[in-house]
Amino acid sequence: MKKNVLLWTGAAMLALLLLIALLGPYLPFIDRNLKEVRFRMEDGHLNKAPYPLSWQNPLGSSKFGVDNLSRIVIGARVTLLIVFAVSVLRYAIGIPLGLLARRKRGAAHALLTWLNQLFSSVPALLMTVLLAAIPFFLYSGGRLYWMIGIMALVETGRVGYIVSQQAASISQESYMEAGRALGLRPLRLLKAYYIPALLPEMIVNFCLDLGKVLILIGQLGVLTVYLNPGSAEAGMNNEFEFVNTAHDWGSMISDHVSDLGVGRFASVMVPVCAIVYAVLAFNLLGEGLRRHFNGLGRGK
Amino acid sequence: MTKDYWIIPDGSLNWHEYGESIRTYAANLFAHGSLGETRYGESVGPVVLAALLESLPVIFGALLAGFLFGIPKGMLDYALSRTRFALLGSGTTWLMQALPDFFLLLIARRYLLHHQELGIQFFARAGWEAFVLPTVLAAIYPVFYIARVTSASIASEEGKMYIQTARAKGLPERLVFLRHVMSNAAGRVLTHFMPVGVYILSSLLLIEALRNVPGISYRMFQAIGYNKIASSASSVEPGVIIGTALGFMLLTLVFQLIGYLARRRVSVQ
Repeated sequence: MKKNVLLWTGAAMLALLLLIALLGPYLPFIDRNLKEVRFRMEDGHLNKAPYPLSWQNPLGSSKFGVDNLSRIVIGARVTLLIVFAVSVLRYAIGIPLGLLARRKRGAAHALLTWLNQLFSSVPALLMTVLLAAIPFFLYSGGRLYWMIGIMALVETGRVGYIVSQQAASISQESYMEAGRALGLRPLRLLKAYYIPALLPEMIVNFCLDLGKVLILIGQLGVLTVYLNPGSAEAGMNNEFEFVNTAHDWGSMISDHVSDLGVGRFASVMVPVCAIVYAVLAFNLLGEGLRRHFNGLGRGK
Repeated sequence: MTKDYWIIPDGSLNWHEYGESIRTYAANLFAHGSLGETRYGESVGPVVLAALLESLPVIFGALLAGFLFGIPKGMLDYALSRTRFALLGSGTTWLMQALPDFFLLLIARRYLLHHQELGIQFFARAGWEAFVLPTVLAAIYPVFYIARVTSASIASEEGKMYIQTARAKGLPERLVFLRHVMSNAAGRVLTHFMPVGVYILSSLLLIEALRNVPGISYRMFQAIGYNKIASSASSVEPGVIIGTALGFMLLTLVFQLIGYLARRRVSVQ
C-alpha cells in the first residue's frame, strides 16, 4: 500500500496542536497570566500598546498589551476542549438516534425528522446566533455549557440523518440477513454488525466535524457572539457591556475584530490563522483516515 | 434598591411574561394580518421583502456560478488525477473546501480596502460591485464543492458497460466523454442543488456582515439584536426574525423542489 501521506501529515499537525495545548502554557516565553501591559519603556521611550512584532511579542500584542502568542497558546486548550465537547455531544446523541431511526418509523424517527426540520429551517449559523441570544442563555452563568449544547444540537439532526441512512443501507446487506436468520438479539446485531460497519465512516465524519465546529466558533467570533458568560460591566447610558473573560480563539477574534476598522488587520489574523491551522489538521486527518479505511476495505 | 433605574437582566425564565408577549404578538398578527413593526417603526413586510431582494440575486448568482465553474473544474480535476499534476487539481479543490470562509473573506476585504487603485468598492450598495463582489465570495465554496462532486461522479461512471460499448463502436473519446459520461454525471451533480443552496444561505451572513449590507441574513442577525452591549431598551425585532425565517424556508423549499426535479430526471434516465 502506498504511504498515506495525508494521514501522517494530519496526525503530526494534530499532535503538535495537542502538545501546544498541553505543554504550551508552561513554556518559558509564554505569559501565563496574560498581563495587560498598556505602556512599556523601551530604549528610553515610552511605547503604547499594541506593540509591533519583536522578540518580546513574536506575534504582536493586543491593544491592551496582551501578548498574542501567549493568548493563542493559552487559548488552545480551552478551544480544543470546546470543539471536542461539541462534537462528542453531537455524535453521542446523533448515533443512537440515527440507529433507532433506521427503519424510518417510531419515536426516534419522528424526533429526528422534527430536529432536522426545526433546525434546517434557518441556516445553522443564524440558528445558533438566534438561540444564543435568548435571554435565558445570554445571561446564564453557565453560558459556555449552554452554548456547547446549542452548537451540538443544531447539527445533531444532520448526524442522525446520515447515521440512519447508512444503517438502513447496512440493513439491506446479505450478512445482516444472515445475522437475523441466526436469531441474534438486537444488541448483539448492533455490537457485531452495525457498529463495525458504521465505525470507519463515523470516525472520518467526526474528524471533519471537528473542523466544522471550529469554523463555527470562528464565525461566531467574527460576529462577536461570545461563548462564555463574560462579566457584565456598567457601560454608558445605564447599559451593560459584556466583557470577555475567556481566551478561546473565537472570543480572541471577537476581541480583535473591532480593530479591523482602525486598520489592525494582523491581530485578527493571528487567531484566524490558528483556526485555519487546526481546521486543516482535522481535515487532513479525516481525509487520511478515509483513505486508510478504504485501503483496508479493498485489502480484504 | 437599585432596581428603580437600573434593571439588571438575569435571564430567568418568566413564563408569564413570555406568554403575554407571544399572546400580544399573535393577536396583532391575526387581527391586523401584519408581522408587526421594526425598531424604527416601519412595517415588517416591505423591510423583509427589501432584504430578500437584496440577497436573491447573490444567492442564485452564486448557485449558477457554482455549477458553471464547478463542473469544468471537476472535469479538469478528473483529467489531472492520472497525471503528476493531480495535486494541482484535486489538491486545490480540497484546500479551498477546507479553508474557513471568514479567512478568505477577511483577506479579500483587507486586499480590496488597501488597493483602492483597483477601483473596486468593497462596501458598494449599488453598481456592479454590489452584485459581483458578494456573488464571487459566496460562490467560492460551491465551485469547489461541485468540482469535487463532479470528479467523483465522473470517476464512478468510468468503466461502465455503456461507455465500453460506445468506445467499441468507435465513437471519438471526446464524444464519449461529453455525450455519455458527462450527461450522466451532470444529472447526479444536479442532485446536490439543495446542500449547495443551503450552504450559500449559511455563508451569506458573514459576507453581508463584513460588507455591512442588510440582506436577508444580516437583517435577521440585526433583528436578533445580539450585541455585547445589553441595553435596557430592547432592540429585538420579532417580526423581522419571523419574516426573514419565512424567507429562508421559502428559499429552502425552492432548492428542495429543484433538487427533487433533478433527482427525478436522473432516476428516469
